[in-house]
Amino acid sequence: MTTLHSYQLNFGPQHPAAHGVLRLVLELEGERIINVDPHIGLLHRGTEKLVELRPYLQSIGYMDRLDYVSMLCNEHAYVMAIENMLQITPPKRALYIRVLFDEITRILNHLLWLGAHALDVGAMSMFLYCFREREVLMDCYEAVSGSRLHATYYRPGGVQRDLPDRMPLYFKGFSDKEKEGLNQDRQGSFIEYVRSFSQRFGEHVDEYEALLTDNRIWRQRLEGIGVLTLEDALQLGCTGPILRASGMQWDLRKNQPYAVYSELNFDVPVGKNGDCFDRYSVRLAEMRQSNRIIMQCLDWLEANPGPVLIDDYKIALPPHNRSHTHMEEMIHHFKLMSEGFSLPVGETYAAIEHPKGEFGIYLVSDGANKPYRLKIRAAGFPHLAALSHLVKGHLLADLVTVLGSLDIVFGEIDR
Amino acid sequence: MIIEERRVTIDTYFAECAALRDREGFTQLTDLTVIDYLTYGQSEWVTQQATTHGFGRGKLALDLQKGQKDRNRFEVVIHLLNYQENRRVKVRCFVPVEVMTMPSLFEIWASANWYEREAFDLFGVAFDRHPDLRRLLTDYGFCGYPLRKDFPMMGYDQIIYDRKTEVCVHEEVRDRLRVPVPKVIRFPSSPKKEQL
Repeated sequence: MTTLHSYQLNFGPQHPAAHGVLRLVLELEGERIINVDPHIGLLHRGTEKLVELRPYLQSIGYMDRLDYVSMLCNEHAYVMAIENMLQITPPKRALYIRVLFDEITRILNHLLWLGAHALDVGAMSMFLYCFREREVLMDCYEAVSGSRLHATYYRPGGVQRDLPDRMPLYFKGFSDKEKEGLNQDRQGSFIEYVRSFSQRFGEHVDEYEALLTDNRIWRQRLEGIGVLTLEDALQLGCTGPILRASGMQWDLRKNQPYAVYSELNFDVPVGKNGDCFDRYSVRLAEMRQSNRIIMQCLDWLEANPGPVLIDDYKIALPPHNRSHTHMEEMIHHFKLMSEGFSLPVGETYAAIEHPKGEFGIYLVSDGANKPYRLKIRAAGFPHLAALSHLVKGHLLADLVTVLGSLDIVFGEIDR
Repeated sequence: MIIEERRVTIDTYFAECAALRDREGFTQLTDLTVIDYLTYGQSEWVTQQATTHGFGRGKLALDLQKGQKDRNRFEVVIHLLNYQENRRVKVRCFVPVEVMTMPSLFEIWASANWYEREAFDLFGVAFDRHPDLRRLLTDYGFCGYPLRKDFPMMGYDQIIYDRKTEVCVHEEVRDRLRVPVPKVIRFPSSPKKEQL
């Protein structure tokens, strides 16, 4: 009789806990994991090749589709790379709007992560609570850009348009009473709408904590699982919340500040043990800090009206009404929409603190209107590569916990 | 943020990288990538000479033969981060075209593992002493190196469902690539490679 020592198990590519299209070839001994071999690339769309074919302005939309749960942060790195090359600085109001939306995006990302992670581990209701709050933030996206997900809102030299003075109202398909509730926060400007959310969001985070942090099942599933020491985290290229959960006080917003982060007050939460629970705690604390930043941005934006896009028609589009009535502006509009602008010869690396870690754009230009080479340094890529290191020796059920705590999104990993 | 740049040769590549980690404290490999210089500085549409009829409308094809034998066609660029001193450095090294192989940095930084697999997959640069050099992003059984400049955007073959035989079959790509906006160089290109 032969004895079976280890066997292989195929996990995915279609599995609800794989967070997308991930295929894992697991080598198991009973329920214990000996080795994991992630097979990725099932969502590979060749973004890096596609952007080489298009003028710079047309590729902003591709950035949204990388990490499709933190859309505007991806765009931020891309427009920052172009701005570095052109050596332009957007108006301050545009930078504040960017920071505001980066933090809204961070909350969006962490909410989706929290909901999905809790769902994987077995807490169904978290998903519903998280999506309730995400809805409000999606409406913020919609109010400024017209899209709920892929905003394409940032532009080299600023943002596409200013924050709206009025929020759109619900008017069809609801009873009067429902409408009253839905439109309650929407009576004022965009800033007031975000502020009303921001004021109650802290309590919502308390709710999540009440459900999870001291929940005995939650702690048993997360504590001591997937421990990553600081040394290993650095070796494996981990950044962002995962590196911070392992005890490194490092945040690009603080250490290499971009936009207006140097003017804002916030703390960088740091973990101690580097296990799944610390990664959860760090992200939850980050949401509170993001909320703090949002409050400060709103105050500033309310007090300081001004332009949101640089006044250089060689790079930024002229105002819509003028390009229809003025010759000069129309020529610029035509030129930008057809050929686009060219970047000087050179290269740059622009990195931002993405909700998942360090997201970088390495841009090489040969003086043309298209990037010669654009390398996207995806934040989740090294994290998934670290998976086999993290789960070795754990049980199969813990694999799902570890995978969830890494916050994997395939749009950016496969690119 | 200013990023220091170090240019090394293939002979010193591994030793320099090891020294950067051990002596200069670059504990993390942030990124590793390859650049293909095949069509660097080539324009698809020359608009310098305007005639009395205006500018030419014809689009020039990129000359894919020109740089084929260039010894410095492929370049590996790595980005490193020193957390203690808050410094970034990038190291660049040309890939020897005869062998198309670089020493693997896996022994220095574990994160090089997947970055090198990706570079191998998309550019066909092999990495010596890499523990597990397989394709990473492209499909099982894929041929060619898609991010090379001479690899067509549409690829070489496509998979279609054949209704008659009721199976998926590979066939040659029939569609031609449309380039809506030609590549135009507006900045006088200083030949970067010679400069360095």
